[in-house]
Amino acid sequence: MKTIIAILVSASLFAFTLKVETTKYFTREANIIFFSDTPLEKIKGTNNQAVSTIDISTGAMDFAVLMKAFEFDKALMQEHFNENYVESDKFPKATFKGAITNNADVKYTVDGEYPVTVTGKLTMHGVTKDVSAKGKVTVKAGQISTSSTFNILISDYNIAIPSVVKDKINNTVKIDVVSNYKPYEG
Amino acid sequence: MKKILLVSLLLFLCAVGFGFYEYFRTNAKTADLTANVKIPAIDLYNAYSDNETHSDSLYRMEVVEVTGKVTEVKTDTSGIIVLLDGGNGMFGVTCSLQKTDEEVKKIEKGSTITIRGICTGMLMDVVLTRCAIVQPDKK
Repeated sequence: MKTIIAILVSASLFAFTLKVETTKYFTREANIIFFSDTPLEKIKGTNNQAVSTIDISTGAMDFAVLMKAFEFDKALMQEHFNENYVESDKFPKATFKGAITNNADVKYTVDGEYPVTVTGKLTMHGVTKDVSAKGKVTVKAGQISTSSTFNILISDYNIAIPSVVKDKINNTVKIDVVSNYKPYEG
Repeated sequence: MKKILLVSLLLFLCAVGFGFYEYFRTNAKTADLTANVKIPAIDLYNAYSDNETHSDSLYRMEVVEVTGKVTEVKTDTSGIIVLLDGGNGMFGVTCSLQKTDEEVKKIEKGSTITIRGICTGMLMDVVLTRCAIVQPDKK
Protein backbone atom coordinates (compact mmCIF):
# COMPACT_ATOMS: atom_id res chain seq x y z
CA MET A 1 0.00 0.00 0.00
CA LYS A 2 2.82 2.34 0.98
CA THR A 3 4.54 1.60 -2.30
CA ILE A 4 1.39 2.46 -4.28
CA ILE A 5 0.97 5.74 -2.40
CA ALA A 6 4.66 6.56 -2.93
CA ILE A 7 4.31 5.89 -6.67
CA LEU A 8 1.15 8.03 -6.88
CA VAL A 9 2.77 10.89 -4.96
CA SER A 10 5.89 10.70 -7.12
CA ALA A 11 3.80 10.66 -10.28
CA SER A 12 1.79 13.67 -9.07
CA LEU A 13 4.94 15.59 -8.21
CA PHE A 14 6.44 14.75 -11.58
CA ALA A 15 3.29 15.92 -13.35
CA PHE A 16 3.30 19.09 -11.25
CA THR A 17 6.92 19.96 -11.98
CA LEU A 18 6.73 19.06 -15.67
CA LYS A 19 6.31 22.33 -17.46
CA VAL A 20 3.92 21.97 -20.35
CA GLU A 21 4.46 24.72 -22.89
CA THR A 22 1.21 25.95 -24.38
CA THR A 23 0.87 25.94 -28.13
CA LYS A 24 -2.25 28.10 -28.17
CA TYR A 25 -2.09 31.88 -28.21
CA PHE A 26 -4.82 34.48 -28.37
CA THR A 27 -5.56 38.18 -28.51
CA ARG A 28 -8.67 40.22 -27.85
CA GLU A 29 -7.07 43.34 -29.39
CA ALA A 30 -6.41 42.33 -32.97
CA ASN A 31 -6.43 45.41 -35.18
CA ILE A 32 -8.42 45.26 -38.40
CA ILE A 33 -8.56 48.22 -40.76
CA PHE A 34 -10.30 48.28 -44.12
CA PHE A 35 -9.88 50.82 -46.86
CA SER A 36 -12.03 51.66 -49.85
CA ASP A 37 -10.34 54.25 -52.02
CA THR A 38 -11.86 56.03 -54.99
CA PRO A 39 -10.98 59.46 -56.42
CA LEU A 40 -14.21 60.80 -54.88
CA GLU A 41 -14.13 59.19 -51.45
CA LYS A 42 -11.67 57.54 -49.08
CA ILE A 43 -13.35 55.28 -46.57
CA LYS A 44 -11.50 53.80 -43.61
CA GLY A 45 -13.04 51.60 -40.93
CA THR A 46 -11.02 50.57 -37.88
CA ASN A 47 -11.62 47.94 -35.24
CA ASN A 48 -9.07 47.20 -32.49
CA GLN A 49 -11.22 44.69 -30.60
CA ALA A 50 -11.13 41.67 -32.88
CA VAL A 51 -10.45 38.30 -31.30
CA SER A 52 -7.93 35.89 -32.74
CA THR A 53 -6.33 32.60 -31.75
CA ILE A 54 -3.37 30.75 -33.19
CA ASP A 55 -2.09 27.26 -32.48
CA ILE A 56 1.60 27.35 -33.26
CA SER A 57 1.85 23.54 -33.38
CA THR A 58 -0.52 23.30 -36.36
CA GLY A 59 -0.66 26.87 -37.69
CA ALA A 60 -4.44 26.92 -37.25
CA MET A 61 -5.74 30.44 -36.78
CA ASP A 62 -9.09 32.11 -36.50
CA PHE A 63 -10.52 35.59 -36.17
CA ALA A 64 -13.87 36.99 -35.09
CA VAL A 65 -14.96 40.60 -35.25
CA LEU A 66 -18.12 42.52 -34.39
CA MET A 67 -19.20 44.59 -37.39
CA LYS A 68 -20.75 47.26 -35.17
CA ALA A 69 -17.38 47.81 -33.51
CA PHE A 70 -15.88 49.29 -36.70
CA GLU A 71 -15.36 53.01 -36.29
CA PHE A 72 -15.29 55.68 -38.98
CA ASP A 73 -14.31 59.34 -39.05
CA LYS A 74 -17.79 60.28 -40.25
CA ALA A 75 -20.94 59.16 -38.42
CA LEU A 76 -22.91 58.91 -41.66
CA MET A 77 -20.37 56.46 -43.11
CA GLN A 78 -20.69 54.31 -40.00
CA GLU A 79 -24.49 54.34 -40.25
CA HIS A 80 -24.47 53.46 -43.95
CA PHE A 81 -21.87 50.72 -43.38
CA ASN A 82 -24.01 49.05 -40.69
CA GLU A 83 -27.48 49.65 -42.10
CA ASN A 84 -27.10 49.55 -45.88
CA TYR A 85 -24.05 47.43 -46.64
CA VAL A 86 -23.02 44.83 -44.06
CA GLU A 87 -26.48 44.80 -42.36
CA SER A 88 -24.87 44.28 -38.97
CA ASP A 89 -28.17 43.76 -37.13
CA LYS A 90 -28.74 40.66 -39.26
CA PHE A 91 -25.08 39.61 -39.59
CA PRO A 92 -23.36 40.94 -36.44
CA LYS A 93 -20.05 39.07 -36.79
CA ALA A 94 -17.46 38.32 -39.42
CA THR A 95 -15.24 35.28 -38.89
CA PHE A 96 -12.19 33.68 -40.43
CA LYS A 97 -11.07 30.10 -39.93
CA GLY A 98 -7.92 28.91 -41.57
CA ALA A 99 -4.29 27.98 -41.17
CA ILE A 100 -0.76 29.00 -42.04
CA THR A 101 0.09 26.72 -44.95
CA ASN A 102 3.85 26.90 -44.37
CA ASN A 103 3.76 26.74 -40.57
CA ALA A 104 6.78 24.40 -40.54
CA ASP A 105 8.91 27.29 -41.83
CA VAL A 106 8.20 29.40 -38.74
CA LYS A 107 10.59 28.91 -35.83
CA TYR A 108 8.45 30.11 -32.94
CA THR A 109 11.36 29.86 -30.49
CA VAL A 110 13.78 31.91 -32.60
CA ASP A 111 13.44 35.67 -33.02
CA GLY A 112 12.77 36.70 -36.59
CA GLU A 113 10.28 37.63 -39.27
CA TYR A 114 8.84 34.73 -41.20
CA PRO A 115 6.87 35.16 -44.45
CA VAL A 116 3.72 33.04 -44.38
CA THR A 117 0.66 32.28 -46.44
CA VAL A 118 -2.69 31.88 -44.72
CA THR A 119 -5.65 30.21 -46.37
CA GLY A 120 -9.10 29.69 -44.99
CA LYS A 121 -12.72 30.66 -45.07
CA LEU A 122 -13.94 34.20 -44.48
CA THR A 123 -17.59 34.56 -43.49
CA MET A 124 -19.21 37.97 -43.75
CA HIS A 125 -22.73 39.18 -44.51
CA GLY A 126 -23.88 35.55 -44.38
CA VAL A 127 -21.53 34.48 -47.19
CA THR A 128 -18.50 32.21 -46.80
CA LYS A 129 -15.64 32.47 -49.29
CA ASP A 130 -12.19 30.92 -49.56
CA VAL A 131 -9.44 33.48 -49.08
CA SER A 132 -5.68 33.32 -49.26
CA ALA A 133 -3.38 36.02 -47.97
CA LYS A 134 0.33 36.58 -47.63
CA GLY A 135 1.63 37.94 -44.37
CA LYS A 136 4.31 37.53 -41.77
CA VAL A 137 4.78 36.07 -38.33
CA THR A 138 7.14 38.02 -36.10
CA VAL A 139 8.77 36.38 -33.09
CA LYS A 140 10.52 38.76 -30.73
CA ALA A 141 11.58 37.94 -27.18
CA GLY A 142 8.94 35.23 -26.91
CA GLN A 143 6.17 37.48 -28.23
CA ILE A 144 4.32 36.30 -31.31
CA SER A 145 2.64 38.73 -33.67
CA THR A 146 1.20 38.43 -37.15
CA SER A 147 0.34 40.89 -39.89
CA SER A 148 -1.21 40.69 -43.30
CA THR A 149 -2.68 42.89 -46.02
CA PHE A 150 -5.06 41.46 -48.56
CA ASN A 151 -7.95 42.45 -50.81
CA ILE A 152 -11.50 41.20 -51.02
CA LEU A 153 -14.28 41.99 -53.46
CA ILE A 154 -17.36 43.15 -51.59
CA SER A 155 -19.54 41.83 -54.43
CA ASP A 156 -18.32 38.33 -53.41
CA TYR A 157 -20.18 38.81 -50.13
CA ASN A 158 -23.50 39.89 -51.66
CA ILE A 159 -22.95 43.49 -50.61
CA ALA A 160 -24.65 45.64 -53.19
CA ILE A 161 -23.49 49.18 -53.93
CA PRO A 162 -26.33 51.44 -55.10
CA SER A 163 -25.60 53.04 -58.49
CA VAL A 164 -25.88 56.54 -56.99
CA VAL A 165 -22.72 55.94 -54.87
CA LYS A 166 -20.91 53.61 -57.28
CA ASP A 167 -18.16 56.18 -57.83
CA LYS A 168 -17.60 56.59 -54.10
CA ILE A 169 -17.22 52.98 -53.01
CA ASN A 170 -14.58 50.69 -54.45
CA ASN A 171 -15.64 47.08 -54.99
CA THR A 172 -12.10 46.08 -54.00
CA VAL A 173 -11.53 46.63 -50.32
CA LYS A 174 -8.05 46.42 -48.79
CA ILE A 175 -7.84 44.84 -45.35
CA ASP A 176 -4.93 45.24 -42.90
CA VAL A 177 -4.75 42.83 -39.96
CA VAL A 178 -2.26 43.09 -37.08
CA SER A 179 -2.38 40.77 -34.05
CA ASN A 180 -0.13 40.63 -31.00
CA TYR A 181 -0.74 37.32 -29.23
CA LYS A 182 -0.24 36.09 -25.71
CA PRO A 183 -0.35 32.53 -24.35
CA TYR A 184 -3.81 31.13 -23.83
CA GLU A 185 -4.08 29.88 -20.29
CA GLY A 186 -7.70 28.78 -20.33
CA MET B 1 -42.51 86.21 -57.72
CA LYS B 2 -39.54 87.63 -55.85
CA LYS B 3 -40.87 86.11 -52.64
CA ILE B 4 -41.14 82.66 -54.24
CA LEU B 5 -37.60 82.96 -55.55
CA LEU B 6 -36.31 84.08 -52.17
CA VAL B 7 -38.08 81.25 -50.33
CA SER B 8 -36.83 78.73 -52.91
CA LEU B 9 -33.28 80.05 -52.52
CA LEU B 10 -33.53 79.84 -48.73
CA LEU B 11 -34.88 76.28 -48.90
CA PHE B 12 -32.11 75.34 -51.31
CA LEU B 13 -29.44 76.81 -49.01
CA CYS B 14 -30.96 75.01 -46.00
CA ALA B 15 -30.89 71.70 -47.92
CA VAL B 16 -27.25 72.25 -48.95
CA GLY B 17 -26.35 73.23 -45.39
CA PHE B 18 -28.06 70.17 -43.96
CA GLY B 19 -26.33 67.96 -46.55
CA PHE B 20 -22.91 69.34 -45.58
CA TYR B 21 -23.70 69.01 -41.88
CA GLU B 22 -24.79 65.39 -42.30
CA TYR B 23 -21.81 64.52 -44.52
CA PHE B 24 -19.22 65.90 -42.12
CA ARG B 25 -21.03 64.93 -38.89
CA THR B 26 -18.84 62.96 -36.49
CA ASN B 27 -20.00 60.57 -33.79
CA ALA B 28 -21.14 62.26 -30.59
CA LYS B 29 -18.63 62.12 -27.75
CA THR B 30 -19.65 59.31 -25.42
CA ALA B 31 -18.71 61.44 -22.42
CA ASP B 32 -21.54 63.81 -23.41
CA LEU B 33 -24.14 61.06 -23.79
CA THR B 34 -26.53 59.86 -21.12
CA ALA B 35 -26.19 56.20 -20.18
CA ASN B 36 -29.34 54.17 -20.77
CA VAL B 37 -28.03 51.30 -18.65
CA LYS B 38 -25.84 51.29 -15.54
CA ILE B 39 -24.57 47.84 -14.64
CA PRO B 40 -21.61 46.12 -12.93
CA ALA B 41 -19.18 44.63 -15.50
CA ILE B 42 -19.60 41.17 -13.94
CA ASP B 43 -23.40 41.32 -14.37
CA LEU B 44 -23.11 42.46 -18.00
CA TYR B 45 -20.64 39.67 -18.77
CA ASN B 46 -22.82 37.07 -17.01
CA ALA B 47 -25.94 38.27 -18.83
CA TYR B 48 -24.20 37.83 -22.19
CA SER B 49 -22.71 34.46 -21.18
CA ASP B 50 -26.15 33.19 -20.17
CA ASN B 51 -28.07 34.44 -23.21
CA GLU B 52 -26.31 36.39 -25.96
CA THR B 53 -29.40 36.94 -28.13
CA HIS B 54 -31.50 38.26 -25.27
CA SER B 55 -28.65 40.46 -24.04
CA ASP B 56 -28.17 41.87 -27.54
CA SER B 57 -31.84 42.89 -27.49
CA LEU B 58 -31.28 44.70 -24.19
CA TYR B 59 -27.83 46.23 -24.54
CA ARG B 60 -26.52 46.26 -28.13
CA MET B 61 -25.93 49.79 -29.43
CA GLU B 62 -27.08 51.21 -26.10
CA VAL B 63 -24.97 53.70 -24.14
CA VAL B 64 -23.91 51.51 -21.23
CA GLU B 65 -22.11 52.50 -18.04
CA VAL B 66 -20.16 49.61 -16.52
CA THR B 67 -18.31 49.49 -13.23
CA GLY B 68 -15.64 46.90 -12.63
CA LYS B 69 -12.12 45.99 -11.63
CA VAL B 70 -9.41 46.67 -14.22
CA THR B 71 -7.65 43.40 -15.04
CA GLU B 72 -5.72 44.53 -18.11
CA VAL B 73 -4.66 47.78 -19.76
CA LYS B 74 -3.15 47.62 -23.23
CA THR B 75 -1.89 50.51 -25.30
CA ASP B 76 -1.20 50.22 -28.99
CA THR B 77 -1.00 52.51 -31.99
CA SER B 78 -4.76 52.65 -32.39
CA GLY B 79 -5.80 53.37 -28.80
CA ILE B 80 -6.16 51.86 -25.37
CA ILE B 81 -8.05 48.71 -24.47
CA VAL B 82 -9.14 48.22 -20.87
CA LEU B 83 -10.49 44.86 -19.69
CA LEU B 84 -12.91 44.88 -16.78
CA ASP B 85 -13.23 41.72 -14.71
CA GLY B 86 -16.09 39.42 -15.72
CA GLY B 87 -15.77 37.27 -12.61
CA ASN B 88 -14.33 34.16 -14.29
CA GLY B 89 -10.65 35.05 -14.18
CA MET B 90 -10.08 35.45 -17.91
CA PHE B 91 -12.90 37.17 -19.75
CA GLY B 92 -14.99 40.23 -19.02
CA VAL B 93 -15.90 43.54 -20.62
CA THR B 94 -13.39 45.02 -23.05
CA CYS B 95 -13.49 48.79 -23.53
CA SER B 96 -11.85 50.79 -26.32
CA LEU B 97 -10.65 54.27 -25.29
CA GLN B 98 -8.88 57.13 -27.02
CA LYS B 99 -5.24 57.82 -26.15
CA THR B 100 -5.99 61.53 -26.15
CA ASP B 101 -8.30 61.17 -23.15
CA GLU B 102 -6.27 62.46 -20.18
CA GLU B 103 -8.28 60.36 -17.70
CA VAL B 104 -7.20 57.21 -19.52
CA LYS B 105 -3.57 57.75 -18.52
CA LYS B 106 -4.58 57.43 -14.86
CA ILE B 107 -6.08 53.95 -15.20
CA GLU B 108 -4.31 51.40 -13.04
CA LYS B 109 -4.59 47.65 -13.11
CA GLY B 110 -6.48 46.47 -10.02
CA SER B 111 -8.44 49.70 -9.56
CA THR B 112 -12.20 49.89 -9.84
CA ILE B 113 -13.51 52.28 -12.47
CA THR B 114 -16.67 53.21 -14.28
CA ILE B 115 -16.61 53.39 -18.07
CA ARG B 116 -19.33 54.61 -20.41
CA GLY B 117 -19.38 53.18 -23.92
CA ILE B 118 -21.44 51.79 -26.75
CA CYS B 119 -22.14 48.07 -26.31
CA THR B 120 -21.58 46.29 -29.63
CA GLY B 121 -22.11 42.67 -28.55
CA MET B 122 -19.97 39.75 -27.43
CA LEU B 123 -17.00 37.82 -28.77
CA MET B 124 -14.93 36.24 -25.97
CA ASP B 125 -15.70 39.36 -23.91
CA VAL B 126 -18.52 41.87 -24.07
CA VAL B 127 -17.26 44.64 -26.36
CA LEU B 128 -17.74 48.35 -25.64
CA THR B 129 -16.51 50.94 -28.16
CA ARG B 130 -16.02 54.74 -28.10
CA CYS B 131 -15.59 54.59 -24.34
CA ALA B 132 -14.99 57.37 -21.83
CA ILE B 133 -13.98 57.23 -18.19
CA VAL B 134 -16.76 58.29 -15.85
CA GLN B 135 -15.24 57.99 -12.45
CA PRO B 136 -11.62 57.02 -11.83
CA ASP B 137 -11.19 55.55 -8.38
CA LYS B 138 -7.75 55.33 -6.85
CA LYS B 139 -7.40 52.18 -4.81
